[in-house]
Amino acid sequence: MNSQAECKAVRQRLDDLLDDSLSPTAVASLHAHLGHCVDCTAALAAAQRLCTALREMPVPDPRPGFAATALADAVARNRMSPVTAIGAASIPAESASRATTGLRPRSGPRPVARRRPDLWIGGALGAAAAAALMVMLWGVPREVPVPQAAADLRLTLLEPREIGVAIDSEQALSGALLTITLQGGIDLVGFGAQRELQWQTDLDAGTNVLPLPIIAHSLEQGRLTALVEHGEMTQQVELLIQVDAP
Amino acid sequence: MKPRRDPENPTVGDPVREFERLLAPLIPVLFRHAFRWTAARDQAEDLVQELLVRVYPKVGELAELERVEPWVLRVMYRIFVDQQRRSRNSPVRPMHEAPTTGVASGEDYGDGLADTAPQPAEALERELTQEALADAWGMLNADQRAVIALHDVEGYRLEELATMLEAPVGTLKSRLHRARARLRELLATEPFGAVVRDQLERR
Repeated sequence: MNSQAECKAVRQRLDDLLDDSLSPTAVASLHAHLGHCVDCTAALAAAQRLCTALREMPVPDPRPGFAATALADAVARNRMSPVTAIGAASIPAESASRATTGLRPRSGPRPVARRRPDLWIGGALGAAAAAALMVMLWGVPREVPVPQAAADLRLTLLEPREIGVAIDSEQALSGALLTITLQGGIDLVGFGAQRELQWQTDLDAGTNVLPLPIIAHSLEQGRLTALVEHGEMTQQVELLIQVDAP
Repeated sequence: MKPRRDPENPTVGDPVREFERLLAPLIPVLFRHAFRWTAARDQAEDLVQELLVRVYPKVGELAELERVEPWVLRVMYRIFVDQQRRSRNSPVRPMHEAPTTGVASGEDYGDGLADTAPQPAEALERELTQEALADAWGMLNADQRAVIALHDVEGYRLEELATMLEAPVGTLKSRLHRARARLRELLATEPFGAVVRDQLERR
């Protein structure tokens, strides 16, 4: 008969056994227990089956032509932007700190990586960009015009309201740059009087949402601009905001 | 370290051809790693692409290495970690209600496994096991996927990973064990096969 405590101790060492990181003495001790404990033996077998199943998980192939395209694009992007490429190759001290910064006012050169244009749907860059990445405003009235046009929203002075920027991307994008610019009598709640805010962010394929709590601090008409950039692609939407007295 | 450069190699002196000679054979391997880490084909391709962009200026150094693969894998892991950190700190979030978003979308783990499964009558248990595993894999966080993929799937030892990932062996060991525990928890695996049978009975 095995005590629960003994079984518990053995279970805690099964990972070490799988890692082959135990001393011969410890291994012998574990096997002595496993030799007469059906439950622990089953647990070890289950863990081994899981490892086997993990190794058997299929991995799809990249898209046809990916390797050649990616190699050629890496060369082309370096020739277009040698400074960025060299700085990045020694890896991320700078980019890591930038990444942890989150929301920040714009300063210095934009950290935008160049991207292969061939992965975008369509031929001409402009048309491809429009197809691949779309920016919309969220939480504004339905009669608002389509993206890339100015839209109206009415706010009451000093009453916060949450809208959002919805970014539709046909594929996952790494390192997109999102810039929110504010003009007139509006602010983003929690960001004081900052007029321009930027995020460098990864986008999932599909719809990505950036919530924006806005507030009017004066009756002056406001304008909010959301700009998304990724490599050669840019998409922008503007929102005109009328402010009413309470 | 002595360079392995072949004086007869016609690509020497041509960085583009040297780059292609060194990296092209590794792309399938790198993609495989990237896919296991990200659990999504688009993201895996983006990761490999970003790696290639960053290492191209280092082609001269690469040519001097005895083994290129560990070096570029290490760089790719650092890019991956950087991307994950950026993602965690970004206020932008995927709208998961959207049907094409997230790991369950077309070319990611879950659907791909279902598509490639054997005939249902003969292999129902196997198919379900893979499906459950793929779902659980997609629910791990990216760091957990990476450490399990490198150690349990690709067979790197903890000592090798300590160099590659620049973390102490003890830290990696803890991370690996937590990741496995999380995966087992997600699979409700105790034991693994019983859960599969239980799922079969529920259907």
